[in-house]
Amino acid sequence: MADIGEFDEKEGYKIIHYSVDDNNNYNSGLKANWGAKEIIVKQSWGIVSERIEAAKQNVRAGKISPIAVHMENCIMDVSLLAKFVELPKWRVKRHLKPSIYKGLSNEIRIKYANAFGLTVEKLDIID
Amino acid sequence: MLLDLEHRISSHCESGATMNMLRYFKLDVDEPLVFGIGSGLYFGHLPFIKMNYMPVTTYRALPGVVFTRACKQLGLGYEKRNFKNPKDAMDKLDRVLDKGIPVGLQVGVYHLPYFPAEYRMHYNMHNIVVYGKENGEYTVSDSVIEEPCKISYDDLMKVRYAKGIFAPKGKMYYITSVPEQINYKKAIVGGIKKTVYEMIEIPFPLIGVKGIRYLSKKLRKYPEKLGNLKASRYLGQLILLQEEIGTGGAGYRYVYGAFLKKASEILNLPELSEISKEMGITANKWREFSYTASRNCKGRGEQEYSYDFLADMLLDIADREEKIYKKLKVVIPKSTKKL
Repeated sequence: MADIGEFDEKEGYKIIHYSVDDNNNYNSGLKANWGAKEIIVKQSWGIVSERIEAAKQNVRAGKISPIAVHMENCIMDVSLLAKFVELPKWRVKRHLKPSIYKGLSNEIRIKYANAFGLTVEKLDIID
Repeated sequence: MLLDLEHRISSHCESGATMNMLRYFKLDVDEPLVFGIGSGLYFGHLPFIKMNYMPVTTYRALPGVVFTRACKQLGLGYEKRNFKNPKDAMDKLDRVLDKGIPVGLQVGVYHLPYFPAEYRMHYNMHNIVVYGKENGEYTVSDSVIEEPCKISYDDLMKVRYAKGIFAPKGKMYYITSVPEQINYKKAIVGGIKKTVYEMIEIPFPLIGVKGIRYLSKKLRKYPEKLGNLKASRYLGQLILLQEEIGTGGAGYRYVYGAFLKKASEILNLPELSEISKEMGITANKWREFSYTASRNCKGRGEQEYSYDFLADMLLDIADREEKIYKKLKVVIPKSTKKL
């Protein structure tokens, strides 16, 4: 189990991994994988893209405002987004309603655009 | 201006940053030694703290403590502070750099321009060392990146004021004085004592060996409480934190084993070498656990291995670790005065 050499040829970002052999000698070196990295990283990003997709469907169905999609894109939740735009959480939650979102002032829209690293015009676009 | 700091890579960012700063002041240390002296080893399962909407399990101490503990144990002077105003934080950084002192910073990963895309999360407990400034660009030693990196003033300010849980708030730390004689023996014994205390003596059920048993109990109930898919995701996050986020593998257990081996040489205690062997075996057990458990994390999360089986693996690990810390307590000297 300590041997993680077989994945080494794979390209990609490498991190230092330690291992120990039967004679209690410790080694460390750059490895791209410890054995099951792909499964775990794929699962973790799979959850993110699933949430993005769900948010997009809800926007199309008119249930939620486009802010939700950008929020998921940036791997944020409501409380983190509230810190980025420097507004209380309850206001961010309100802005997730399509009816409220339509009436947002330009000032607030700029705040959101900055938090997501977008231009203000792109705020309405979700694809 | 560029300080003569050798950029060495490591698995754990804070141990690495501390190591690089200590080595700049001519201390002969490597990552396991810093991690052990700084009592970095830990365990805590904290279901009330959520990351990505899932419970957090930690294998190391709170961010920032490895540096402070290592300095205290080695008798070094240091300064550590936050800044309310980002401009002040950057000015102070420049002033310390000008004095010829490399500076450690706590930063958020998400906006670090050179960071690999697959690890770009809102993770705020990353540590880097700044050791140069030229043409408005800072030279940074990030111990999890192979080469030294450059980062602009604006980007650096942004990552120092990243938002979210454990927000860095401009935290910076640096070494101010180094004693002429450094007593490594005393530092190592002090570091081990602290770890033993944290792993078996804290009277709180979620921490240390008790925490591993608590996690095992929780894990056993995952599928009936959450259903297969969600259970597999909780499990996936557990493995992610254990193997992927700069732990050196097996949630730092390999690093600690390497430290114990080194400690046995420095302290001239052959018993410690035996214990380090057991730590190595336990680390392999952790690795076996994450490898086995990862089989449940494919597709819709069908159970290739039952959660009872995985929970039993954790119980076995908890027993092994408990034995290790109890032995450590007996083996290391009670008093550090004669060292």
